[in-house]
Amino acid sequence: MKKNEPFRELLYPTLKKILRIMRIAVILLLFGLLQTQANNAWSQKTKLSVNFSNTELVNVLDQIENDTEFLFLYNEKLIDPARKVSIHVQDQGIEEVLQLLFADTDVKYSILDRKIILSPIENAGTTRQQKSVSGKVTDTSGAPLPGVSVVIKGTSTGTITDIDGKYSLANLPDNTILVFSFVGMKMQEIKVAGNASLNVQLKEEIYGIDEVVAVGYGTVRKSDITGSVSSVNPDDLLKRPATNINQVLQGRAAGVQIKQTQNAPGGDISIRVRGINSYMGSSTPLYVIDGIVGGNINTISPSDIQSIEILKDASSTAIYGANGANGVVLITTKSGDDENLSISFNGQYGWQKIAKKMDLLNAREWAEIDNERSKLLGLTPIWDLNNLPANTDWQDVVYDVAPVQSYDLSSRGGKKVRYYASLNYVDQEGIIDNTDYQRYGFRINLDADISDRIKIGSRLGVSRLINNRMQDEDSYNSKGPAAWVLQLPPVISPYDESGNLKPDLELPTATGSSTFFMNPLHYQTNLIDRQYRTGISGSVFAEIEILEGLYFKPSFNYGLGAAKNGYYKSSKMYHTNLGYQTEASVSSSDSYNWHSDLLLNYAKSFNNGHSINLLGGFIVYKNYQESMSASARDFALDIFDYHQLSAGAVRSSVGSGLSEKKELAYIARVNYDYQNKYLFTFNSRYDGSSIFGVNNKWGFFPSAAVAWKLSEESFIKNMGLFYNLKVRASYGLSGSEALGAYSSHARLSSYNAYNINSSQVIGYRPTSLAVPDLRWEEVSQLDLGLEASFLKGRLALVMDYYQKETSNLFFEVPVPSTSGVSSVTRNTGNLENKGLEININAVISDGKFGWVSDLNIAFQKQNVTNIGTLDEIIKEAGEGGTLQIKVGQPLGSFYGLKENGLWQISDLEGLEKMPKLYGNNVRPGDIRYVDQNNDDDITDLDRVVIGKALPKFFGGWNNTFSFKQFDASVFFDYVYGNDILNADRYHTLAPVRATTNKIKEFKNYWTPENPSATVPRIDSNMGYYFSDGMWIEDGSYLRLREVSLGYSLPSGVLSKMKRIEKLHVYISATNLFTLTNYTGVNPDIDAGGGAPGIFNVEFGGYPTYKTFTLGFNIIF
Amino acid sequence: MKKSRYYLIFILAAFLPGCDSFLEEDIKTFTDPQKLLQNSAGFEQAVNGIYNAGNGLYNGRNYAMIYGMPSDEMWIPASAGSRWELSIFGFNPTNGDISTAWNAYTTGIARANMVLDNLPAVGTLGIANEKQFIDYKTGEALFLRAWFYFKHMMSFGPVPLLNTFNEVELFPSNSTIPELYSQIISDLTDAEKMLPNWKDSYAQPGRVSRGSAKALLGFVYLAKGNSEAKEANDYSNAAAKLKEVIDHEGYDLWEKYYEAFLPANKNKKEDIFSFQCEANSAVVSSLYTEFNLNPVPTGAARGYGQLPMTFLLYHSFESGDKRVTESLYGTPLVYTGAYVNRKTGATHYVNDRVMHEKYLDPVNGPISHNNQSTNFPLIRYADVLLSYAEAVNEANNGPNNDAYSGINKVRNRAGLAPLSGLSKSQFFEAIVIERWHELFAEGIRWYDLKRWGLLKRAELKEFNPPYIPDFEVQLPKHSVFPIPQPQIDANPNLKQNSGY
Repeated sequence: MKKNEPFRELLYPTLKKILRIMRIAVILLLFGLLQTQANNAWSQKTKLSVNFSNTELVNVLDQIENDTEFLFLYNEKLIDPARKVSIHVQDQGIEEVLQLLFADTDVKYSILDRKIILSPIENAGTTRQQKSVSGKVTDTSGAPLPGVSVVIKGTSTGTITDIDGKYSLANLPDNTILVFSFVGMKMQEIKVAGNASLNVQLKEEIYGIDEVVAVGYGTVRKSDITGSVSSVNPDDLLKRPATNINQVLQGRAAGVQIKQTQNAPGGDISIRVRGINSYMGSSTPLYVIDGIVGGNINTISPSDIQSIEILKDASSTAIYGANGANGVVLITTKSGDDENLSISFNGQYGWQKIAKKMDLLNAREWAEIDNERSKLLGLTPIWDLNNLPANTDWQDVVYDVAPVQSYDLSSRGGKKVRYYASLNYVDQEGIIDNTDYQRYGFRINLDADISDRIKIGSRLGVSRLINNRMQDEDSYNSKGPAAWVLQLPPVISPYDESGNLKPDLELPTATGSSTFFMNPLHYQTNLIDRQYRTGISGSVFAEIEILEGLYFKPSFNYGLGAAKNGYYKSSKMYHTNLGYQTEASVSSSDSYNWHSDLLLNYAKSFNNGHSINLLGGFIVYKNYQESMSASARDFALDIFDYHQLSAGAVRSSVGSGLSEKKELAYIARVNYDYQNKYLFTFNSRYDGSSIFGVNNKWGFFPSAAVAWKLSEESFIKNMGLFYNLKVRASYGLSGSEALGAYSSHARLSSYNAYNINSSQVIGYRPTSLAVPDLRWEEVSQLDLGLEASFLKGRLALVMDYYQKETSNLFFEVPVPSTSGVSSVTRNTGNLENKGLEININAVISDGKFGWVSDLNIAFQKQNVTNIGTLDEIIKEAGEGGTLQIKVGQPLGSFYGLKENGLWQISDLEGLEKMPKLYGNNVRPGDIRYVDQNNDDDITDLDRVVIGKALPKFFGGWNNTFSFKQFDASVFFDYVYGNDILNADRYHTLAPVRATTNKIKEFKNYWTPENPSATVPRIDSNMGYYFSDGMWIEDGSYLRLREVSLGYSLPSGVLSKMKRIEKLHVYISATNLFTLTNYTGVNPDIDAGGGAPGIFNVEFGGYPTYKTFTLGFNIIF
Repeated sequence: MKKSRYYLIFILAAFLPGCDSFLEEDIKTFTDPQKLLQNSAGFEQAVNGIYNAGNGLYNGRNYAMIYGMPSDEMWIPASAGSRWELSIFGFNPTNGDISTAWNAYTTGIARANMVLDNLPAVGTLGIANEKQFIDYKTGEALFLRAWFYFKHMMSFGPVPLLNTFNEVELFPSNSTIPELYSQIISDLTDAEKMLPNWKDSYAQPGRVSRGSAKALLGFVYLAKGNSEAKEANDYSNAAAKLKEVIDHEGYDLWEKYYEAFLPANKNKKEDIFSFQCEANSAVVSSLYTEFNLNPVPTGAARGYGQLPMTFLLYHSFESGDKRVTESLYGTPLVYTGAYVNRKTGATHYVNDRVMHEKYLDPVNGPISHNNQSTNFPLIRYADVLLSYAEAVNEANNGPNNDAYSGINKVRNRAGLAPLSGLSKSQFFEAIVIERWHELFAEGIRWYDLKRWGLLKRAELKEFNPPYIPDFEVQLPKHSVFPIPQPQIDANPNLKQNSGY
C-alpha cells in the first residue's frame, strides 16, 4: 500500500501536526481515554531496514512512515524530534527498531495497529536533576493570598499556599512551569527557570480592571467606562445547545429582559434593554456584530462569540444615533489572539420534554359534564359513561420527547497572522411532530500585522438555517396544534378503526348535529411550513498608524441574506366538513446591506495627568431588499410539495416588493481623563436617513458623561473599605427609526381589486397620506451609576438609575375616512421609562471550594405621558384582548370588565330592576362584573384597566461552584408583577365554548347546589369576553432556569494524554421547576404577534420544554 | 508611506456620495394619481379601485345585514353582537357594522374624487376612440361617486360633501340634504350621457352602464320625493327616468326568480348593477354562507346562518309564491338552534330560523363555503319595475296601467295573480308588501322603510319568535344611523346625528 504522497507534500508541516494531534484525539476517544498496549499481527509481520547516522530523529521517523504504513503520533514538546540518532538495521520488526531508537531515553512507545504513539515515560524525572522552589503569593495590593493552588503544569503534583500565602515545592523536573490558580483571580503560569524563590502576584479576575470592553466604534478599559454597559462572556453559559445567543442571555444582565415569543424550534426571542421605548416601532436593540451594523443574531453561532456588551445608557448609544434608542448589543467574535495553536471541540446532546402539561378533563369527566349540560338545556344526553368511544390524552398524543444536539469545532492561533476558524452545527427537533431547526455555519476571522504601523483583518461568517414550523406558529391568535391539544374533546380518538390518522374529528352533539375539529397529528404530518435562511456577513478593515497615536481605521462591512419560505398543504388535508383545498406557496427575499466606516482616532497622554482620546468618523450605509411571493391552489398530485406551483389549477397570488434604506452619518467622540480619577466622555452623531419626511432628513444625537473614580482619591484609599469606587452620570439623545422605508409618502398602491367580465382586474387605491414632517422617535436618557467593590473585589456592586423619555412617539392617528385612508402615522406622543438596576457579585472561596454568586435585579416603571390630541386609544385585538393607552398608564394595559365572583340566587331575588349584561338579564351562576358606573347594566362603559403586562421587576441569580475537579452552576431567573392574558384559559374554562375540552377546574361549575363554585353555570352562552378580568393572571415566576454539573479531568490524567489541554464533561438541565401562580403553560410568554402594544398573551403557543443535556469540551 | 495620502482618502470619501441626494428615495412600489392617470390602463385601474371600495360591504353579509336587520325582514339571536344591536334598533355610534358601511362609502367617494380630479384630457392618452374611453371611465367614476353619496346620505343624513381629492380637506363639515341631492343628480345626469348601453360593443360586463345611471337617477328622484329636499316634480322625474330604463335599455326579468341570482346570469338581462364576485379571485362571495346554516346533512358547504328571514316575512308570502318555493328550493330550510328567551332567561331549542338559498353558487358553493361567484345585486330590473310602479302611483295620485304593469310583471313571475282596482293607498300598500317579498336580503328594506317613514314596521317582528325582546323604533332618530364614533373622534367638524 503506497502512501498518499501528493497529499502529504501539499500540506504544510503545521497542518500535518494538526492531523496528528487530531488523530491522537480520535484514538484516545475511541479507546476510552486509556492508553492501550496493542498487540497486533500487522506490526509483527512487517519487516523494515533503516540506515541513518547522526540524523535527527524526525527524519528517521519520516523515513519509516514513507517506507511502511506506520504512522507516528507524538507531541514535539515532549519527544525531542531533533535528537540525533544513529541506527543500522536490516529486515527487523518495528519493535526492534523502536527499541534501538529509544534506548536510554525517557520515551516509550505504544503500537496500535499501524499507529505508533510516542510518549514520555512517567518517571522520567528520576534520572534528572532535582530542584525545589518556594515563594509567596500575594494579590495586587501586596496582601498574602492563602489557599492558592500551585501545581506543576502537566501533572497533578502541587500544593496550596499557607495562611501567609507561602508555598514550597521540591523535586521539580527541568523546565517546570508552575500554575497558580485561585478562584476569582487570573490564573498564572510561570516558568521556574532555575529560580529557587518565586513570588507571584495574582490579579483580580472578576472585575478585571484592565479588561478591555467594546464600545461603539472602539474599545475602552472597563474601569474607564463612563456609561452603563453590561458585559457577558458566553463561554461559561453554553451548557446546553443554544440555537440563539439570546436564549442563554436570559436573566444574565440587569435591565435586559429576554423572552421567548415562540418556544418552537427556531422561534423568535425578544430582547428589550431597559423596557419598551416605542408603541408602533420596534423595541429591539441594534445588533452590531464585529462592527457590522444590523446583523442577524440568529445567524451567529453562540460558540463563536468572545464577548457581548450591552450598551444601555445614552452616553453609550448616542454614537449609533437614530438607531441607538433601544440599546445596542455589541457582539465580538473570537479571533486568533494566542501564539499557540489550539483546537477546541464541543459536543452536546440533549433531550427535550414538555415542561408542564395542563391538567385537563379525561373522557369520563368531560362526558359527564356534557351530559349534565344537555339535561339543563332540555336535550337528551348522548354519552354512555361506561362505553365512551375513546379516552384520549391529546397532550400525550401530540407532544414527544425530542433530541437536540450541537457540535462545534474551532481552531485559533498564529502570531503575525492570526486566525480563528470554526465549523458549527445545531439540530433541534421539536416536541411537536414535524417541527425542527438546524443551523450550519462556519466562520473565519483573520488578523495580520503588516508592519508596525499597519494591521489589517477580516471577518467572515456564513450560516444556513432550516426551520420546519408548527402550523400558524407566527400568529398570536394561533389555531395551530398547540392550541388544539388543550381543546380537543378526550372522547375522540385521533385514529380510525384501522389505525389510520383521521383527517377530521367528528364530535356528535346532543342537538343532533356534529361539530368537527382538525386532527393536529394529521394536520402537522401533512403540512410543510419551512423556512430557509442563508446569511453571509463579513468585513475587511485596517488600522493604520499615521502619526504617533493617530490611527486611521477604514472598514467595509457587507451582509447578504436570502430567505425563503415554502408552504404546502397536501390533498390529505382535504375533508368535506372543514373544506380545505391543496395549497402551496413560496416566498423569498434577498437582501444586502453594506456600510463603509472611515474612522480617525487620536489618543495621547500628557505628563501632567491629562489624557485624551478623540474619534471622528464618517459612515455610509445602505440596505436593499427585494422580495417575491407566489401561491397556487388545487393540486392534482401531492408529489411536488411547493416546488411546482404551475401544477396548481388556480394561481392564487403573486407579488414582489422592494425596500431600500440609505443613511449617512458623521460621528465624533471625545474622551478626556485627568489623573485616572476624572473621566469625561462626549459622544455625538449627525445622522441622515432616507426613510424620513423631506422636512426632517437629518438629526443630531449628542451625549455627555462624567465619571469620578473615588477609589483613586487618597481619602477613600485611606479608608481601606473600597477596592474600587466610581460614580458616574450621563445624559444624551438617541433615536429610533421605528418605521420602514417610504413611510412618509402618499402612496397609491396596486392590488387585485375587482372582477370585470368575470376576470380579476388590477386596481389602485390610496394607502397612505404624505407626512413630510415624519421623523425618528427620540429618546433622551439620564443615567446615574455607582460602581463599588469591597474585600479585594470579592464583593462588587453596580447600580444604575435611569430616566428615559421617548418623544416624537409614533401613533397611528385616525383621520376621517373621507380622506380615503383611515389613519396617518405621526410623531405625536411621549413615553417615560424609569428604572433602577442592581447587580451584586460575590466570590467566596477557600482555595478548594469556590462559589461565585451573581444577582441582578431591575425595577422598571413606565408611563405614557402624551398621546397627542387623543384622550385614549382603545385597541381591540380579538384574542389578544383589549388594550387601553392613556396618559399615566404603561403600554400593555389590559382593559376590560372586572370580574367579582358569580351571581347567586340570593343576589337576584326580589330585585325590582334586574342587573343586565350588555342589555341582557343576568341569571344566577353568571359572572358578576363590577358595575363601575352603577347603571345596573354592564357595558363597555364599565371597562377599566384589569392588568398590566409590564413587570415591576425582574432579574436573575446565577451561582457557580467549583470543588476540585468539579464545577456546578445553578441559575434562576424571575419576573414579578406582570399580568398575562391567558387566552388558553378562556378556551378551556369558558362554558360558552361548550364542546371543547376543559381544565379540571371546570368541574367546579355553578349549580344552585354548588353556590361557592368558581366557574359559571355551564348552560350559559353569554357573557364571556376576552377583555375580561377572569382571563388575566399574575405572571410572576421564579424559575430554575438551568443547573449543571461538570467535571474536568485533572491535569495529571491529562498529562498522560499528551496534547489534550482540557477535557470538560458536564450534564445540564433547563426549566426543572417554576414557582408561579400562573395557571397556563408559559409564564415567560411574549406573544403579541408583533401587533403594536400587545404583550403577554398566551394562546396556543408552543409549550416550554425541559432540556437535559450531556456535553463535553476538549481543547488541544 | 506618505501620511498626507491618508488624509486625502478620508476627506474624499467623506464627501464623495454628495449629501441629501443620497438620501432621496427612489420609489418603485407605489405611485401617485398624476402619474397613474396619464396612462389609459392606469386610468382604468384607478376606476377599478373605486368599485373595490364596496368590497367588505357587498361581498359578504354586511350590506344585506345592515339594511336587513333593522327592518321587518331579518333578525338574529343576541349572540351575534353588533348585528343583534341592528336587529333591535339598539345600535350606537360604536357599532362596527355601521362603521363598515361608512368607511366603504367615504372611501369610494374619495377614490372617485381622486379619479375625477386627475382626468386626462382628450388627446393625451394616444389610444383609439379616446373620447369614448375617457367618457366611459369618467361616467363610471361619476356614477360610483353618486352611488356612494346616495347610500351615504340615506344612511347617515347630511354627510360631508367633498368633490375633490387633490387638495383634500382633511376635516370636512356636514353638508345639507338638498346640497347632496343636487350633487348626486348632477353626477348621474352627466354619467348617463357618458356611459354606454350595456349591450354596446365596447361595454364591458361588470361595469356600470347608461341603464345603471338612469335607474339610480330614478331611485334618487323617488327618494327625494319624500325627503326634506323634495320638489314638485320628483315623482314624475322618477317615473320618466325609470320608464327610459324600461323602454330603451333592453332589460327584462328572467323566467324564474332564482335565475336572477345565478352566477351564470350575471350582468345580463335583469342585472343592472351588481358587485362582481368570482370564486378564486381576490373578490369572492361568501354570501351563501351567511344565509345557509351548518350543516346540511349531505355534506354541503357549511354556513353560519347569520341572516335568517323573520317568520313575519315568511308567513306573509301568498301561498304558491314561487319566490318561496323556488328561491328556497322547495322546502323551507328551517333549522334548530339554541336560544335564550330574553324575557324568561330560559334557553330553548326550537325550530326557529328560516334560511334560504337565494345566493347559492351551484358550482362553487358545495366545494367551498366562502369562495363563490355569486354577485351581490345592487340594481335589479325587478326593483326598477316596482319603483316605476311606485313613482307612477305617486306622480299620478293613484295607479294607472303603467303602475299596474310594473308590479304585475313582478307578481306574474312569482306565479301570483295580477293586481287591479286599487286605491292610491292600497296600491302603495301592495308595493310595500311586494318589495318586501321580491327584494329580501338585497340591502333595500331599511332604506325603503326609511324613505316611506315606515320604520315602525320593524316592531312587528317582536310577535314572532318569543325571544325577540320589546324594542322601540324611535323616529326621527332611527331614520338615520349614528355616525361612527371613530369618525366623530377624528373630525372635530363633524356633527353627530341627533339622538345618538
